[in-house]
Formats: sequence, structure tokens, C-alpha cells
Amino acid sequence: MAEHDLHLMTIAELGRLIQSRQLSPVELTRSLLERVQHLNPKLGAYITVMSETANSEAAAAEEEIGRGTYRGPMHGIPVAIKDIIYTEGVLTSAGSRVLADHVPDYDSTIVERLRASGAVLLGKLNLSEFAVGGTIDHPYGTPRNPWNLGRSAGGSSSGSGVAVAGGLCAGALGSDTGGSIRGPSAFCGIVGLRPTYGRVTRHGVVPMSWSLDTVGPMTRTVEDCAIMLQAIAGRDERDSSSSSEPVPDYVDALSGRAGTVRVAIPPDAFEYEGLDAEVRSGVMSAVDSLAELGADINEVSLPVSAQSGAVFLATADVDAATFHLDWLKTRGDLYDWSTRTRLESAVLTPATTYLRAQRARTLIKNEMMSALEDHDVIVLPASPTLAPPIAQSTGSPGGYYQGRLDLGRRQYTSPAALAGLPAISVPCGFSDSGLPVGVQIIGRPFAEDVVLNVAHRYEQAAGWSERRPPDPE
Amino acid sequence: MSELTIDDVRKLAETMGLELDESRARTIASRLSGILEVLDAIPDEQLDSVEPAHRFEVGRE
Repeated sequence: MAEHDLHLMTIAELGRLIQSRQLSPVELTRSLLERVQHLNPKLGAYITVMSETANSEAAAAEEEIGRGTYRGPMHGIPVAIKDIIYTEGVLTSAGSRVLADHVPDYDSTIVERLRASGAVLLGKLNLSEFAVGGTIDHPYGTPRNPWNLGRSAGGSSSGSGVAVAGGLCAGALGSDTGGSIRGPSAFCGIVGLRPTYGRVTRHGVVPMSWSLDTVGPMTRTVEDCAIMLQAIAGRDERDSSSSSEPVPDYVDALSGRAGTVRVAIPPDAFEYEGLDAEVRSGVMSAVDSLAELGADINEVSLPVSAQSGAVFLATADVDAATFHLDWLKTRGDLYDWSTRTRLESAVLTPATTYLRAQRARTLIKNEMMSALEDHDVIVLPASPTLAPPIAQSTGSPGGYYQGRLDLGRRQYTSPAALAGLPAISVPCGFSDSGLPVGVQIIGRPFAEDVVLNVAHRYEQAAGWSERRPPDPE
Repeated sequence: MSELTIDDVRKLAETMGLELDESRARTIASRLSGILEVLDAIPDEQLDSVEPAHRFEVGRE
């Protein structure tokens, strides 16, 4: 195995080599850490690199596998996690100056589960401050899109998107409150899954919104997503919102489904003025591919979901403001201008507005569930635009995350979030300028197996996930 | 209520113990007004037909 190719390989490919002892976890980890050291200053993916513990974990994995104990497809695989996920003894900054000295004294359940799977933790990844999105001044460096360093990697799981696309880890975890996995995955040309609300524990994760937050995998392929989800899914007694629903075998589900897939398409969402023409074309090509694979495509109407951006902000931001209120009063100057303004805006949201949003949320959930009564999945763009220039990708006045267009753009990722549904972003093409486009596939509650199966079949037919960006010079 | 003025925002902020400069007050007024406008456009009869999602649960339905 040529060492210079390791960063291009998938978790599944690396796992097979590790299991058969053709690849050393120690060598793999060393190779990726060298790439991180060389490229992270240009890409801004990592906040903290955990070289020492990563090397130790890799050595332990190698020794254990050498003794004949192979834990599974994550054993010896180097991964990284968004820096809102608690790690004992390691800075967990949430991308903010407010938590610049925050070193938890315990691991999140997710980190425990990753370690139990045998994964090697390379480090903590950059993000939009407190997973809110629109950060103007990233205190730990600006994440840069590997496909074009002048373009945004999206938000809020920007570092996770950059690290996976840029070959700085084999897979990553992000979090998705209203699109924070799916957006960066689309912008960076990778696969990202927002699980059903409650599918993955949030114990030891800095919250944004209690009724919307999810943690999920960001990977190079759908199969890798299934492998990572398998490692972290399931009930956690330390998180009351986690579900007791049984966890199926997600990798088996990739090839285990037969019959016609019923796909719902809301045509009005494809007529929105803020939808980029190349994104529309890429996603419609994906719909055509699904039809060629035998899917039954039907149009559905989701009128209230078109207004979901405002419903999302009136819900998620008010939740977040509740968590941040004391800090806003006492440490407000430490926040990025955009984060601070958005959270203060939420503090001042009238209660009547919040309650109106909660009724609208019920309407959206009913609307989505009604569409899914007769269909296996709903297909939408994962992001309505290509990755914008970094200078425009902020919550400052006139920026990407402000104003009427921001509310409109959120209609693509907010409905699944507000309804608590699983949704995956899969690469479905590239613009003429070489920027990735992502298609979003939304499923029923706890039907990650179906979502992954449909996404995998499309991915295999389309082949876009095989593309990798060049290393920055 | 489909619009919040900068003065409205300032008064609310004072009540909540937040100190806003001109730039943030203007941005917040614009932001909140945008959200209110969209929510107000959803017909009352539709909203009145459902319960608010106070207590959020997801299950196989």
C-alpha cells in the first residue's frame, strides 16, 4: 500500500486492510498526522490535534489486532470530531473565545463509543462559533473549502467537512441542528448524515437547541457513514432524549433492500428564486438517476415547509439563547459579532412569536410525515447554493446568513430538522467552476437504513463520491 | 405584530439586561421583523388547527 494514497481511501477500504494486517494502524495514523501538520495551516480544519494520544491509541489497536482481537470496521481507523463534543482533559472550545479555557473532566458518550469501537481520535475540529453559523472571525483559524480555498466550507460543521474532503482524517463527526452536517457536506463534496432526533446520544455535547440537535457522521462514502453511525447509535441512559428504538445493521442495509423505492419531489422547492441553476440541474440529474434505478418519482406539495426557515430560527435560536443568556450579559464581548447579534435577537423574540413557530412546527412535521406515508424518501437540494466566497459567508449585514434570502435558503434543510427526520447529503455533481453539489435524501423516523440504502444505490450509480480535491499548494 | 422597530428592540433589550450598540440594534430589528413577517403569513386557521410542539417526540408513525 502506497502511503501517499492512504488519505484518499475510505473507512471500509482501510478497515479491510487493517483487518487482514496489510495495513498498520500506527503507520496510517502517522501518515494522517503528518498531513494534518502540513496542510492544516492552509485548510483550518483542526482546532486541537491530539498526536500523542492518537499514536498511543493506534499502537494499542495494532497490538490488539495482532493478538487476534478485531473489534470491527472502525478498529484502528483515525477519525476526528467537532469541537463541541466533550473530551476528557482536552480543550472543547465550541469554536468560541468564551470557552477558550474549557477542558472537560469527562468524555462524551460518543467519544466513549468511538473508542470502544477501536477508533483512533486524531483531534478536535473547527466550526462556526457554538454551532450557530455565520461566524465572521473564527478565533481558531478560518476553515477553507478544499475544492477552492477562497470558498466557504459551510457551517457549522465546517472543520469536519474540510478534514474529510481534504484527507486529514478517515471520517468525522459533526452536529446538525438545522443543516450543519448537510450544508458543509454539500459544499465540501462529501457524504453527511443527520440522524433521527434521539438516534445518537448528545451526552457531553455543547447544546444549541434541545429539541433539534443531532450528532452524525461525515465521510467520503455512504458505506462509511453507515459504519460510523453503527458505532455511535443507540440509547444512552445519560441522555433523556436518546431513543430506545433498536439499532439495525446499517451496513447490511446498504444491499439488503429490494423493490421499488417511492420518491417524493416537492416541485415548488425547485422554483425558488434563491436556488442556484447548477444546483437545480445537479439535483434533478440525481432524481433522473434514481428513476433509472427503478424509483417511482412523484410530486408532493409542502407549502408550510417552504416557510420553515423562520420557524427554525424562532425555535432553535430561542433554545440557544436560553443557554447563552448569562454569558451574553457577562461575557458578550468575547462572542463573534454575528453569533452575539443572532443570540441577542433570539433573547428578544416575543413569546407569542415563539408559540406561533411551535404551531407552525407541528404543521411542518405533519406535512413531512404525510408525504412520507406514501413515499420512502423525499428528495431536495442539500444546499440551494454553491459554496459562497468566504468573505460573504457570514452573518454580518448583507452576508449569506442574513436577511430574506437566508430565511428562504433554510427551507431545504429546516423541514427534516423540525420534523426530527433522518436526512443525508450525497454528492451529485460539480459546477462549471469545480464546486460540489449535494442532493438531500430524507426518510421516515429511524429509517436511516432506508435513507442509507437509497443514497448508496445512487452513489454507486453516479460515482461522484470518488472525486477528491487536489492538495493545496 | 409584523415589525419591530429599533426603539422596540432597545426597550426589550433594556428589560432583558442587554446593552446594544446601534449596529446590533438595527440588525436585530431587521432580523426579527423578517421572521415575524414570514410567521404572520402562515394562515391563523391552519395554526389554530394544531397543538404547538412544546414537548417534542419522534416515533415510528
